Amino acid sequence: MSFEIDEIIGDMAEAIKGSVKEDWPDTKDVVKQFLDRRKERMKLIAELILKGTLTIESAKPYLDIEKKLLEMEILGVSIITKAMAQNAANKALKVLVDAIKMALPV
Amino acid sequence: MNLPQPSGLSSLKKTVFLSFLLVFSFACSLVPYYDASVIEQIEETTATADRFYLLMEMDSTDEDSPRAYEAAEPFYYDIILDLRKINRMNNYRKSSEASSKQVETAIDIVEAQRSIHSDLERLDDRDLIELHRGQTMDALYILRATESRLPKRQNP
Repeated sequence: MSFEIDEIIGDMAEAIKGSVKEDWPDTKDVVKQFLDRRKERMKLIAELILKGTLTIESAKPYLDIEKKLLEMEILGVSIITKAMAQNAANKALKVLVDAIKMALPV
Repeated sequence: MNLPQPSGLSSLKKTVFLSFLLVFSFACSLVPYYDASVIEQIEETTATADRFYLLMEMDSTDEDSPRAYEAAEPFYYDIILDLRKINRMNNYRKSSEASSKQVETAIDIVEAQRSIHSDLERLDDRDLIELHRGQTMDALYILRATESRLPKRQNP
């Protein structure tokens, strides 16, 4: 079961990686944080099915929630990626503005 | 041949510079700026959810225990109202569409939890309570983790 969960988590990481493309190296740490939290819960859902507390049918709403959490994570990673671009652009802009200020006669 | 006058040239430079700044200011607004009051509101929501699940874990015999859906319902609505408050804050922020969508998804998650609890009438299994708690707390964690990485405003 743990191997399957690792595989599912790996597939989730690939899904997120595909959505962030070239920003993956900068975002993989936050994705890892998100997915590590997820891993224990996937195990818990599997255990609840195995001990009979949940059936495959009654587990479905919980899996739908997991899907929504994944959507939130992908959105979060895309926001963080844009934030990094915005930070970089703002730093570049500050350099430019400072250079122009220096060049302008007082 | 009409060459621009020195004063005209200076005004042209100013116009180009201001246009450049204007273009940059739009280009650099991809996400909202970090807002400490949004983090504070997420923390408040997390505290409400934490209290809710702590009470649920603590006592199964008390008739007011939120293990029973009737007692739990006000907590679900408190959490949803707290999240809606975050989205009202987002409405006043520039470029906050993706952040708002994230909060709307968190509201959907709490609503789904409420619906499951309502169908079951009671949540007594500790592992099932742990699953509910984990999913709700994770939604709030994602909101916080995202907000905390937004760019900070820099003083000119």
